[in-house]
Amino acid sequence: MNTTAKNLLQLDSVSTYVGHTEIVKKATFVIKPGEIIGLIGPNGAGKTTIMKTILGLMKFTGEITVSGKPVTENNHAPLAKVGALIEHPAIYPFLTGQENLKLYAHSKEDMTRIVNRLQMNSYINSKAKGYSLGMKQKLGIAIALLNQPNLVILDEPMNGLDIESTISVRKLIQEYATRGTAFLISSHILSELQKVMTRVVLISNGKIILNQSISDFETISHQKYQVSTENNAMAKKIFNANQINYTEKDQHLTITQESIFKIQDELFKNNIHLTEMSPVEANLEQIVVDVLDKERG
Amino acid sequence: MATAIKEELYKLNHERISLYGLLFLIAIMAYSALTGKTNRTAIIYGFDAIEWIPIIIITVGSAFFAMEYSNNTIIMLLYKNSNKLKIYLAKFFIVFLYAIFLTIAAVLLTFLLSLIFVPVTCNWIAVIHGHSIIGDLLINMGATLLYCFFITGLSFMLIMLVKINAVVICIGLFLGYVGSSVSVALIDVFPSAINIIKWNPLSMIFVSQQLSRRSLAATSHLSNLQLVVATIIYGLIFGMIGYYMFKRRRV
Repeated sequence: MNTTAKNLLQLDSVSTYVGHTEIVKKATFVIKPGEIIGLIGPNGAGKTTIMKTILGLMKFTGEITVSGKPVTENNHAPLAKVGALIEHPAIYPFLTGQENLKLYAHSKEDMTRIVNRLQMNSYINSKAKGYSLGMKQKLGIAIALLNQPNLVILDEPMNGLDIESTISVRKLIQEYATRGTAFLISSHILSELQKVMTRVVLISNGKIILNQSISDFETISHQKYQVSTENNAMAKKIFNANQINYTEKDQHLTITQESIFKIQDELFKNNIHLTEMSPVEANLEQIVVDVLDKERG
Repeated sequence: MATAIKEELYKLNHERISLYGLLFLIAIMAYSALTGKTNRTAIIYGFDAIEWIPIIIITVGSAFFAMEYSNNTIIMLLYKNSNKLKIYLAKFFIVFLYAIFLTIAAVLLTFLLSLIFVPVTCNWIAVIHGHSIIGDLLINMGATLLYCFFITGLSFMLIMLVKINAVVICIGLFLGYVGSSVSVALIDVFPSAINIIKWNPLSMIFVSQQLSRRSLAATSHLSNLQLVVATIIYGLIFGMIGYYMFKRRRV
């Protein structure tokens, strides 16, 4: 794969090992300026490991480039314009929020602007050890957003945030993205992630099993159909006889898009009339679960 | 490197443990002056400062490193820097700088306490049998500083090895209280292996007293020069092992 400057971040066949265990398996994806990537997957799938690998904190094989420059375990120079919040906010509890920011900030104006935007003024001069989980989380996000980064990596950024803070953070992410900052965000709160992300990278057991724009991803929701017949009991027998997969809920049978023509044929042959057939509007969580189920066989 | 040192200094300045270390040293020296004998020996050993400074250093040194892991700030520190050695050396330098600060504070406090508690005005510069009080005090404090180099290396190695601050502090207390006794006991138990055992790291604690009291060489079985060189070499070895483990430690 060619490294192009247009790709802010590029992972090419990246594998991360812990001991002899391969945690991330040949991950390949790119992030372009202004993109907001949702990195989703079950616990232990390798989301945090991928993030740490991008930051040059893990041993890996393959190639990682940031703005076209290779990142290695011993070369973090390309990460100069990368902000990150990994696992828990990296905060010194004996310093105030302001002092924590000062450790990393290149300009006071930038620092003040982020503090204002995240509404942290009331406590920014207090020692961080007294902060609530949400306050710490906001400070961690503020640190990641300092110095006009090109790429921001956020691991579960919405943890502990109240509704107002969640909205502030979401708006700030969108504002930065409009200016060209790319984001790689992992979150278990998929409904929140869905509001900001432009692309989904789904990871399971260390492997990237899906990498799609959010609009393509959402079309998956139309790949399931809900059908009703005048005789569901008979219809189920026909489905079973023809090895057509279905699920049943509230007098409805749910089938996949691929089965539509087959069930229509079979029901017609058996003189059973369809009374209803409509696409199922699944939410993101359901889609993820379905994709993961399919992957696991 | 200068930026890394500046950042580490900023952290240590703001961390309470450095202040507590100083307050503890003042308290322990004052206690020693109040309850112990206020004689020449007490003064040249800085009212027990030579015993307590290394213990404070092992506590502060390990806590100063461990807090990066407990606060998850190690991630920022590592990904913002390509050079792990720079991070490690900056921390080492700052802890050693703190040891210098404590040593200077101990010298000044020794002057102050002796003015208050030593009943007879002592002549600090009078040379008796080739020794002056001021000379011995400064030699002992310099030797303590040397021992602090050893201790800083040890504390960094131990915090990478055992990862639990409390365990490192316990080891520090063990070294401070019984390190020399264990070393002597080992020599007594295995007299035939004296030429090997005398080089054990527990013997290095003698450096803080032996340089001004050559008679202790009979106990440590090491000359002053041997003790000084061995202390520096051990400090370097521990420091290097600590760095190797720091480099390999997963975050």
